[in-house]
Amino acid sequence: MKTGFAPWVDGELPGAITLQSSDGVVTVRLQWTAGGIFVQRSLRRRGAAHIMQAARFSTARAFHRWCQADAVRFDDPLLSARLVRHGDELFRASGAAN
Amino acid sequence: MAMSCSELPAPQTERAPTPDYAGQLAAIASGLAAAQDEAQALHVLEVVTSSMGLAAAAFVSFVRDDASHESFRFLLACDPVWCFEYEQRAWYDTDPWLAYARSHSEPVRGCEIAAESEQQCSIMALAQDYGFRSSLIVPAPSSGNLTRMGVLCLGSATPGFFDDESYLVLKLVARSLAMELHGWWIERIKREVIVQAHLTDEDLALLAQERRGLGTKLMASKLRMSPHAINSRFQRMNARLGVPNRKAAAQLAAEYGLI
Repeated sequence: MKTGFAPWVDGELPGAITLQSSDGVVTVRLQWTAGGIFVQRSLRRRGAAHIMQAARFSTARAFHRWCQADAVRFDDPLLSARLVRHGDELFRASGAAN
Repeated sequence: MAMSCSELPAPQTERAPTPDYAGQLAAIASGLAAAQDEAQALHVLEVVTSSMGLAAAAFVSFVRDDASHESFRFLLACDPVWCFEYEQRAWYDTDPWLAYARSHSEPVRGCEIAAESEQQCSIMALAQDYGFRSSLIVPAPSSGNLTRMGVLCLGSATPGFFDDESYLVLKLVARSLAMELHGWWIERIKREVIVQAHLTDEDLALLAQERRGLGTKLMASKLRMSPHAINSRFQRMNARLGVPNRKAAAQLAAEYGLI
């Protein structure tokens, strides 16, 4: 079933997608790679350290667990939901196992 | 209290290195030179980690040019939920592994670093929960009074993994890998700053002169520009770099390897 969330056409995978929180503090870049979804998450809060983490998820389950652990789920639920949906779309489009 | 190495049980796995063990790992690590982005750099770290028979690895790159410009960049070849737990508690300043790397250049087993507070015990316990039951901490320092540094943290779920006879070879390879990763990150950050702040070769030349302590008049004469042009150029550059003055701009440029 086509969800309409992913900004690419069926059968094609994008190079990278960047999502940002409404206050601009959190930026997440998603990219499909041979080993799964590569995620680069950046936190830039004024007056605090800039934190960047880069990781890869080979299964949708591991990706969901990570999304659930992110404080952005409470701080910006819309971003969190978009992140999960885009990730799910990438896993579906790639045909990777959950 | 941190457990000492001698108290840990003997390794449960055989990990005797083959004669070309170091060569094979070095060949994989050399792929870093061709890594175009973080995804490719992480792939190299993942492959080396798995080839070493390890469960987890993380490389942290740290830069602090002043109180308002501090950054931690994590490449996580481990469960990344660990990083959230760490981030939410803002443990960076008290992390015993990072603290060790700030003042040492020699790799050390995690069990040789004693926790000095309850918080440090919690930090180490959290690391154990995320695949670093036994660990090797490998600092990647910088020279020249710069704050930038890297730390490679290698982890195994097997207690005493780093206590057997292959430790010396593994330490040697890990040290090379840490320095390569550190160099890769600095190059990456350098390009990022140049692009984001729209720095030209002329800007970099000005920053280098400032770093050497030259005054406006001397700079103007050396670079064949008017003092007014020098001053206004610095003003624009400071704004783009988000720093209050030219001294801070030169410090930032040095920290990020621009000059």
